[in-house]
Amino acid sequence: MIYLQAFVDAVALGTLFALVAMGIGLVFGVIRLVNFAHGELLTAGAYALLFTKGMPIVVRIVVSLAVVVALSAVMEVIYRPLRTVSPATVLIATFAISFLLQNAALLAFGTQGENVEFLTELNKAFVVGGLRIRWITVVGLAVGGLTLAATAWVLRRTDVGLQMRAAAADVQMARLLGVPVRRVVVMAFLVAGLLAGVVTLVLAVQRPLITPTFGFQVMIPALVGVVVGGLDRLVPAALGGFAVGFATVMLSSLLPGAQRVFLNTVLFVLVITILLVKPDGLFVGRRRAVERV
Amino acid sequence: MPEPLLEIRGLSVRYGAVTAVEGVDLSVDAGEVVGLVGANGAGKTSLLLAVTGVVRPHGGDVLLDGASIVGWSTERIARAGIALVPEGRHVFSSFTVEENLRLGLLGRADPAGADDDLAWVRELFPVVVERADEFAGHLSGGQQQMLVIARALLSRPRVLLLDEPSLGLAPAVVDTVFSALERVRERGVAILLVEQRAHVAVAFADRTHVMRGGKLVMALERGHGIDVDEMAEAYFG
Repeated sequence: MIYLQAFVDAVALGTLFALVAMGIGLVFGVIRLVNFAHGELLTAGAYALLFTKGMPIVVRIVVSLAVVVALSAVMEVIYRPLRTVSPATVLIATFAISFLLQNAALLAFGTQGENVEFLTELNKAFVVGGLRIRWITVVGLAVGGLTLAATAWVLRRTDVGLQMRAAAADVQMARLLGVPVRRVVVMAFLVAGLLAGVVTLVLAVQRPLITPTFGFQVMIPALVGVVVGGLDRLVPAALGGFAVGFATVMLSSLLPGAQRVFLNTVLFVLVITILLVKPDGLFVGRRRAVERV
Repeated sequence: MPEPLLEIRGLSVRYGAVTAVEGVDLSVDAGEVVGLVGANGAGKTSLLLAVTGVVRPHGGDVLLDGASIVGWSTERIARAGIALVPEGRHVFSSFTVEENLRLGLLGRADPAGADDDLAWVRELFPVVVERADEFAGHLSGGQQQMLVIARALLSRPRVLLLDEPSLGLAPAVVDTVFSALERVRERGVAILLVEQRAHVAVAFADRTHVMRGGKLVMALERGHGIDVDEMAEAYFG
C-alpha cells in the first residue's frame, strides 16, 4: 500500500517535471539553447503570487501567468545576440541570467521565504481505498495532463506547430521554405513560458514557502530529465522529465528512512549509468546522421 | 529589353580568404532553364546559397524583377518566390509526407490556388502524394527527391533553383523528375539547374554555363554536342 501511495505522488511530480522539461526542450529544439534560467520563470511566477496575496484567485492566477510569459519573452530578447556565438558562451550566459535573477531575488526578498497562501485548501486529502490523496495531486495531474496534451496538439496539428517542429529539425531548410524563424522562436519562448506558468501554479500549492531558489530546485532535476530523455526531441524530453520526477518520489519511499539522504546519490548514479549506456537519451531511437544544407 | 526575372551581377562569395565565386554574371528569365555545370568545388552550390541568402555575397548584386534582394533573410527571399531544392534531399524525415507538403504550402506568398497546385503536384508525382501519411524518411531516395521538388513547387516559386537533382537517382526516376521540370518550365517558372553531369544539363537547359574556380568559363547552347576534350578543358583548365 505504501508503494501505491508513493506511486500516485510520483506520477503527480513526474507530470510537473515533464512540463518543465518540455519547456526547456521546446526552446532547445528551436535555437539549440539550454535555458538555465528556465527555473527563474517559476520563481518569478511564485513571487507574483506572493505579491497578489489576498486578491481574488483569478487575478492571482492571471497575474502570475502573465509575469512568467512576459519574463520568458524578455529572455528571448536578451538571448538574441547570442545566436552566433559558441555554445559554451551561450551556456554560461544563460547560467549568468539564472544567477543574476536568483541573487536579485535574494537581495530583494532575503533567504527566509514567505508563505504564498495560494489555494491552500487543495492540500487537504481524501481517502480512497486506503490511499490518502491530496486534492492538489488530482488537480495537478489534470492540469498537467491537459497542458501536455494541448501543447502536443499545437505542435502536431497547427501550422505554427508544424513550423516550430520544422525549425527544430532543420533550421536551414525551414528558412528556405519561408518559415519565419524569428517569429517561431518567439512562439517557442511564449509556449515555454506558459508551461512554466502552469507548473508554478501547481507547485505553489504543494510547496507554499517561496524562496529565491523556488524554481531552480525544480529546474535542475527537470533538466537532468531532459538530458536523460533526449535533448532535441520533445516527447523523449518530456518523458525524461517525468521519469526523473517519478523516480525521485519512488526512491524516497523505497529507501529506508536513514538512507534517504542518499536519494540524490542514487538518482544521479542511475542518470550516469543511463547516459553511459544510451548517450543520445533513454527514449530516443537510433539517430540518423544529422545533415545540413 | 525587359528585365530578366532573376539577374545575378558580378556576384562574389568568399569564405574567409577562400574565394568560392568570383564576378559571376548570369540571368534566368521566366520559362527559361539555365544550366550550370562544373567540377566539384567550382562554386556552383555557393552561388545558389548566395542567391538564397544562406551565405552573404562578398560583392555584386542579385536582382529579382529588377529589385536587389542582397541582404534579405533567407525566409524573405523564399517568400518573394525563390525556391531552392538543395543537394542531398532535405526532407523532414520524421514528418509525414503530408506535413512536408504542407510546409511548402505555408511558404506561399498567396494562399489562393493552393488546391490547384496540390492537384497539379499529385499529377506530376503520384507516387509521392499517394503516400501522404507515411514518414518521409521511409520513402526511397528517388521518392524523397520528388517530394522535395513537390514541396518546393507548392510554395509557388517564380524562380526554382535545383542543386544536383539527378544525383544518385535511378534512370527511370531521373526521367520522371525531368519531365516534371519540363512542365514547371511551361508554367513560366525560371529554372536554374546545377548539375555535375554536363550532358544532362545541356540536353535540358536553354543555355548551360560551365563554372570553374568560381568563374563562368564557357557557355553552351541547347543540344550542343559535347566534345570531351573541350569539356575537360573547360572543367579542369
